[in-house]
Amino acid sequence: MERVDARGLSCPEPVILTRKALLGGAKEYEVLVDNVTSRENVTRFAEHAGYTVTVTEAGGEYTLSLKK
Amino acid sequence: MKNNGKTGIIIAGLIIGAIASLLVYFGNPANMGFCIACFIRDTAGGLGLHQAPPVQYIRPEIIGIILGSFAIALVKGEFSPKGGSAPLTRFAIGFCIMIGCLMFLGCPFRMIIRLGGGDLNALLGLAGFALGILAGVAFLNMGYSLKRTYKLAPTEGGILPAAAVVLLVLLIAAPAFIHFTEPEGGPGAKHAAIAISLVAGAIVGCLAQRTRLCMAGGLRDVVLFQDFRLISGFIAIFAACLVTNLILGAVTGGTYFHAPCRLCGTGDRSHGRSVEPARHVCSRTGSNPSGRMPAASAGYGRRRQHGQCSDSSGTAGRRCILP
Repeated sequence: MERVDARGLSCPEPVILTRKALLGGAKEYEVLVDNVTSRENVTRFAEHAGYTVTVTEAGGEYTLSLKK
Repeated sequence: MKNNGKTGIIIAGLIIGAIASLLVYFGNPANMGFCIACFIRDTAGGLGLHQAPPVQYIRPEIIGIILGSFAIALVKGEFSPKGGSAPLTRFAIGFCIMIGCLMFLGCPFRMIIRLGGGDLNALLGLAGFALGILAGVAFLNMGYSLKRTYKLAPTEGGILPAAAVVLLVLLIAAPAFIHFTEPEGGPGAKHAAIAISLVAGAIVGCLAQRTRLCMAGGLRDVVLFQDFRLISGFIAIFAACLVTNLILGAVTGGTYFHAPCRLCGTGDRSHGRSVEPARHVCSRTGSNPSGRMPAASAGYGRRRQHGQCSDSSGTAGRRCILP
């Protein structure tokens, strides 16, 4: 599973990094973000790209599991 | 297709747009219910950080936005101060953004409010704004990054809200070292009552925090992945501004639109309203060469009545010198 670590990055970098990763066309990705805005932005983008997103939170950081 | 929280942001946008127009009714300058850049400029002037008398007033809307969004972030457990990435670059970028905004006479928020008030100059601003976003995305695609931020102590994040409270105290106490634009002295003199502005700002701060309202993000989402959630908030602001301006115009008999003047046919509807002397173009000297529309832009300076211009030289486009 490919992993995108976007923690600490400012909007819109998490979306841009995720977008670049998704160009690889894998079925599963894991995206790490550390704020709610990035979580929502990446979720919205991934859903538009046809992935289902599940979010787990731990200590203010979010792990987004993207599956196709 | 999933609604994706679009209803919430549209309702928030409608409320924000209506509030923006109502603030003009309550005393703010034309099409300036909200303008983050202009209000920071005015606040800087109020603190004496610049000496432009027409634009000096500590704007309670800014205080309200900071405190409203801070409060709702605390309540929702989203208060999470971060910082430490590329501070000088951010400062330089912020500096340039502010200059750009003040040249345009509005932030992206006011750009929409200006459109809702019929000021089509803002369309050019919108085009430039969109091009800027595309340029930014291109840089990011090429690998540009401001690098990572780090978690900061809550006290660090509490400084700005604390400063907002200090500003509010200074505004209410009005000590001698705080500057206020003289009555009729410019847009700084045009403002709603402090409590109205403060509550309006707080409501907008809460709504913006909850909906993540973002004009740049809205255009980015449309360009990158054809998502209209964020931009729908701004479309709602535009619609609400437009409708509220229409209603206010019908009810009060005043004009809330940047319509051409009945007398001179120009876009200058400043007759009887405040305009900035240095930028006003006399109606008798032909068209406004800059294409700028003072009343909708900010409403600077002194009051003048139509046809009372002392400049009778007739030079096309010559700027009016007020008596």
